[in-house]
Amino acid sequence: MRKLKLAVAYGSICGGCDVAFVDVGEKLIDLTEAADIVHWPSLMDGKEGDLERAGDIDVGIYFGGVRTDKHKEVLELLREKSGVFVAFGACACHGGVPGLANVFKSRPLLERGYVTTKGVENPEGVIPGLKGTNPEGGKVSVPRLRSFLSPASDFVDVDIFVPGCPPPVESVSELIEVVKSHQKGHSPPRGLAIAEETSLCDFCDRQKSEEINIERFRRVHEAAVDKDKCFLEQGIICMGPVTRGGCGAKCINANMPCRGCFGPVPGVEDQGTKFLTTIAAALEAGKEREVGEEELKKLIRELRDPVGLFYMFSLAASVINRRNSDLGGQKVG
Amino acid sequence: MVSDGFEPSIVAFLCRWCGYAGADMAGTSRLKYPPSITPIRVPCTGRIEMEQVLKALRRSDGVLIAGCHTPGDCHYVRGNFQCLKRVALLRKFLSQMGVNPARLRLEWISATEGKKFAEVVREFTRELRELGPLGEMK
Repeated sequence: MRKLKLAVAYGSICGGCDVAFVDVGEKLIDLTEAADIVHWPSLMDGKEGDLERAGDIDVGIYFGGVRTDKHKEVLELLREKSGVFVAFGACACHGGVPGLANVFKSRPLLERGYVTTKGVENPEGVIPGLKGTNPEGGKVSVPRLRSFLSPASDFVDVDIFVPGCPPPVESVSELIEVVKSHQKGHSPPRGLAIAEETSLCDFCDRQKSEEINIERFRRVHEAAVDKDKCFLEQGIICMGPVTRGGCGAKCINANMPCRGCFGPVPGVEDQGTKFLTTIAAALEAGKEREVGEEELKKLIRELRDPVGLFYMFSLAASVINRRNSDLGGQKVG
Repeated sequence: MVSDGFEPSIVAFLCRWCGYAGADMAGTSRLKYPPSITPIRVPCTGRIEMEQVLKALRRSDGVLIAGCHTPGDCHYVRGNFQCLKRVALLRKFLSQMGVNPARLRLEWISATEGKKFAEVVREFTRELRELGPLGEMK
């Protein structure tokens, strides 16, 4: 049997996906039996251009979102060379946490990073340029930030999605199995997602009533959380109803609500708005007349940061994105 | 008309019982209002998915939702309240996303209020003209 060639390349990453991947342990030996790793910056010595020289690749795995032009270049190169393309992790699938930066334009982001953050000493407000010289006098440049972060699937066709932030060990195991069967000649179906087909609620053991009624929204630290009862019934935002299952309900079992890292349930395009529609309806359900319009609006206003809560991992893939905005277009660099 | 000639486009989700009937009334009463709206008839404002509102905003400059008066006019008892709560939350979401929440307007218009319907469309169109087109960021 021919050994496959496998490559891992990065977009905008935190490094968590690397850690999560190798967390699978001995199973990595199975992977190396099925495939030769030709490029993986954090595991092997490698220089820029290695990917280009690697020839055709059987399985290409991409971590992270697309934030700079360089990320896009690497993504497109990997896709072009790969027989099977895997978007690994929440960022590659739906934009992930860095996608939340899409509520700002690039310029204010840089100002925040280099000037206004507490603890930063930068009285002249210098934002490093994209081009400069290194101490030896050579020219160096940094890739331009794009106006907004995009998930990999905005630019290329994805064969396998592995959602999660980071994807759990079970998902990595399953991906390795897919690679092994690919080596034996069974190609994975296009658009395969290593996750369940229904929402997390189906895999949550907490007691749930038929209709959820929320009297007021609470944040986790504001309430003594009953570990046997549905979070939503306790007024705590839990993304379970709109989030794809397959994570093993680890957060839920640790008495923390779901934050939605597995992305939307199949059939739902926009995770956050779907949740918004659901949760707003549950507020004082059936008692709206007695509560009255003004009071309802007040209760809604108490919900802090809907974008951060509902779109923690999927803002970059939402319907309204940086594409439509009253902020207007402004490029950096 | 402003000098640059920008005419906003509005998607209007109108409930079958009140908002749409109100629009009908405006028509049969021969009231004049700008041709800026594209009406979409829905069974009840409580059936409008907010995702559809966002999708409408992608291709227009504003969204109008018109349904039955609160507290008691909704044909389905509390659909109008469901919409009210969702719109309140969506407006908060829009302002976080850098979209002026004034681009989403919710009005209670009964079947007899043709005059109010025409007035709302006129006023909303005027407001949107001032706000300008909902920009696309490159």
